[in-house]
Amino acid sequence: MTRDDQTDRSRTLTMAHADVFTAVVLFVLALAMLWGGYTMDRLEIRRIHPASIPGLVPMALGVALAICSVILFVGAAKAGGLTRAGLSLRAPETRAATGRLALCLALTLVYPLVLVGSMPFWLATAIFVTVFIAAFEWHHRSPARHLIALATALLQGALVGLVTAYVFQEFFLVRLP
Amino acid sequence: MKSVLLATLAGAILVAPAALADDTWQPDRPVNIIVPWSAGGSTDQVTRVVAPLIEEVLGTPVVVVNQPGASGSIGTRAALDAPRDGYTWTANAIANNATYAVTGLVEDTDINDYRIYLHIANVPVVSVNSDSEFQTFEELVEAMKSGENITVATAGINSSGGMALAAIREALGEDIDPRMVAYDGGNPAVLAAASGEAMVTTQLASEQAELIRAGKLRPLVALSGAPLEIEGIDPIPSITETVEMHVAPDYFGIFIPTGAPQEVYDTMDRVWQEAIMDAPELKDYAKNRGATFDPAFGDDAREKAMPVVISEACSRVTRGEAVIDPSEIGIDCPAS
Amino acid sequence: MQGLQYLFEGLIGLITLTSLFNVAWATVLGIIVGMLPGLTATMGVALLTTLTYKLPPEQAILILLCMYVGAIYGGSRSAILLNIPGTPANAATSLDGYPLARQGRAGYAMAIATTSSAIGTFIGIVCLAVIAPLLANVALDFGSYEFFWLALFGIVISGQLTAQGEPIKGIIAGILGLMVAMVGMEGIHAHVRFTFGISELNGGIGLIPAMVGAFGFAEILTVMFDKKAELVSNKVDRIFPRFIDIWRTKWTAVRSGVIGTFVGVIPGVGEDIGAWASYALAKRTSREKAQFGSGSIDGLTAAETGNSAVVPGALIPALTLAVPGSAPAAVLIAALFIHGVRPGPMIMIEQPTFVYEVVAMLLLATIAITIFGILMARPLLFVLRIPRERLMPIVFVLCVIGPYAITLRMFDVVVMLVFGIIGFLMRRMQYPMAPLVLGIILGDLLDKNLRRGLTLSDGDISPFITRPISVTFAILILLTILASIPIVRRSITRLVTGNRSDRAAAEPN
Repeated sequence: MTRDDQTDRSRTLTMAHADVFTAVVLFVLALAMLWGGYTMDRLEIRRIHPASIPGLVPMALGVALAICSVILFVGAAKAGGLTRAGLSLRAPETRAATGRLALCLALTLVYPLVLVGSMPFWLATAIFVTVFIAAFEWHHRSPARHLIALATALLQGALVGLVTAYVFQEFFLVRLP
Repeated sequence: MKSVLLATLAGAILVAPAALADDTWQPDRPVNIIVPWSAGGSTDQVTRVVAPLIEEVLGTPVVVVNQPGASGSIGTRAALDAPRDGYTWTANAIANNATYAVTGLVEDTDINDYRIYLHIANVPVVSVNSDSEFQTFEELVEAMKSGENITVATAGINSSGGMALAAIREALGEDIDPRMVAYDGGNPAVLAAASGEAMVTTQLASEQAELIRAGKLRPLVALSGAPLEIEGIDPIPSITETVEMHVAPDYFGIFIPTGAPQEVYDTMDRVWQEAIMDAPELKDYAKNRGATFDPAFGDDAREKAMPVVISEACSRVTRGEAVIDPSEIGIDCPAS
Repeated sequence: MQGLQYLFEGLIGLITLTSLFNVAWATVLGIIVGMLPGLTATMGVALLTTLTYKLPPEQAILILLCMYVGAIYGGSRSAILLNIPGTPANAATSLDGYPLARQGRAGYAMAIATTSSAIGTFIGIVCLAVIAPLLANVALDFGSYEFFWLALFGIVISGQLTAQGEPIKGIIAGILGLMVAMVGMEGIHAHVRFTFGISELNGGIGLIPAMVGAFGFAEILTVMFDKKAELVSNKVDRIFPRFIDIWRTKWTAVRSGVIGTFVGVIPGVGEDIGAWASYALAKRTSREKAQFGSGSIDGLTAAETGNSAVVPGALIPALTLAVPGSAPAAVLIAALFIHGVRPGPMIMIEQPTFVYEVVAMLLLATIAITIFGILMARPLLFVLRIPRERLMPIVFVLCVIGPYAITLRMFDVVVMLVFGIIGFLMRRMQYPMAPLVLGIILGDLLDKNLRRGLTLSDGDISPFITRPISVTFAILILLTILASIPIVRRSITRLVTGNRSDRAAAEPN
């Protein structure tokens, strides 16, 4: 691996930092699994064989994950994961990507969790598709063409909403929310 | 109970227009029968004989779906959770469905959750691997009593085989402790005994018949009142010759969860009368597999089923395996 | 030959208008899914499982297989034209396909990719028809001990071979998958584990909603996160393959087909590795080594034959052991269960015709990719011009409605969302996804057979290490783990100076 490139170096550092963090999270998860398996009902009342208790495999998985997370931690620490993080997150390109991700996440979570269920399925879908397209195409188009973008987005949204609702209700006999 | 009532209401409203037009149920899509055991087990075998017979008279595809796991409780739960529209049935031994609540495998369910359609009664058989040292049931009991490790393959605590094992243990007294090994269904359990992975199996005659005929399993005793006759095999002695115990016939059938529109049940009563009550296919199956052909539906069926249900539910209590008192679901045990 | 008769009957049974129509649209859809970067074969199969849920089992399985074959082939288009593999399986394809396109021979490259894919799938199909019945026969002797090891072996080998950087991340992904499988009612004593009082979790976490999330939603997030890809080559020359080219590369094709099939059989090691393995070998043995990486026909043939042969190869253990050979095969297993087909050693006894029906279906899919790949080469180019902003919301709508359609529970939509976010994070941190899928599907097998085996042996672990098949698996697992320890690995590398650099960019699909 070449370390002369500055961006490459900061990238490696970020991954090592992330690994240190995940190793800790995984270790906690492993302990929780181990504890969960250990305290799980041994079903003595049903007189099962003690080697077949339901908690056996969860306990084993807890131990295995704990070992793996330690190995991961050590490896990441060697790669510099314990030093202070680089500034790579502030790079303008990453920032734009993070922005897109946040917007995408917000839209994709609001649609199934809020919109669907509070209104007919086709309407929820139409709103989601329209807003998604409009939100992401806004920057690419010149202000003069915003209206066209919005109109085509609306058209596609309505079409997708109606078609999916119709197909699922009529052909797949799914009772939509 | 409230949810069942709501489901009934919802079902009634949804199907109301059709019901007004005609009181015969005409399914507009395939009916699913959930077999909560793996393919090749006794329930699966007989259900696959029955399904085409129903299909012919009902005039709609009847699809057998295997959903095994956890003593049949996973599939049973799925059948109970499905919309109560008459399109999802389940097939099983009635003693299982009526006692899942007692063992706690499926909560809040009893025999009244189904309309019952019975076809055959099956008989558990105690068999050992053909290379086994045990030639008779007495030898096997002797080995168990002397504290030898005996592994018994069954389809789980709530399966016919598991119940048979529990009944034998109870009849023999508390000083024996055979080790039950749970498989996904009767077929894998019987295969495990035939391959020598487990030493004994107490699954049903219908599941063992072929392997017994092939010489892979040696039948020792049958859990029936009289010696068991299977085509092509010497009669299998009854367990009552060796051990004093009560054996109730283990009825199998198809169960439709309650709460669907009434015409579903009316139509199915007619279908059962026409397609099953005198079916030569089932008679052949029974003769070939060491089962008894004894069809019934509705209240008759419920009456026939009660002895085995009561016997199973109450023996769970005596063995300390019950998580609720059977009287909570309307099964009264004789005072002991 | 009983098998040939079954195969013939299977083919006859499939020559109906409905079947052929389904083959046509499912294959074209598969090619489109494969072409679009971000939509993978796994996601296509998972999503289509939910959409074909109400169809008769035979038709549904036919559609899923066509989708699988189509997507793995379709990925070569974007690899050649965009230098972006449409699915991870086509990463090796872009090494020689894209240079060809830059030389103005995009059509020629697409023709080679088409015939190579068809030949690869065909070789895999022949192996499937021959090996699957034999393997099922062997597997009949597997008891609880063997199945436990088989499940563990699958997780370990998949974790080792699919990890891009450190193998430890592959193993962690496998363990996480197994942990997911622990949720819900277990199969021995019907005890409910880790549901925290949520009754929807009693039946466990559904593989299909989880996969739609981890491969669909996660990919949407990834695609929107990454920078835009631009279509470089628009010009297409002749797209009809020439016989002379096929003849010239015949040995490369046959060798790559066999390697691909073999890689497919290895649990959880999928199309991408199949392509890299055949590519690396072709490079070592080819007469035109210098050409590799700058438009070698041999290289392109090896990559595309290799990844396509994995498809039938991955189905061999999937059908006969219920252990998936690749991530899409894992989803296929779940789909088979939904449609009442129970894969496993008993399949040749319970449904002896089924394996041959699958063979017949794959043959149809192979014919379909050849026909549509050549005839629709130009119209399909438009697919690559669809802006992601327009496409992704539609895909997401399907990701939401798909899991809901099977169970009619909003809960499964939440499962999809959760796995989507987890999948996105894992992907960013370079955790392979294949071991996770394998863990989810093998967790039950591993858990039940371990505890059943321990009950049988009265808590004694010796049967796990003394029975011949068990001990073989145990040694294999031990060797695999040893090979991942840096010191051991370095000394092995010193012994066999293999070319591992080609694998650097490998990622499971």
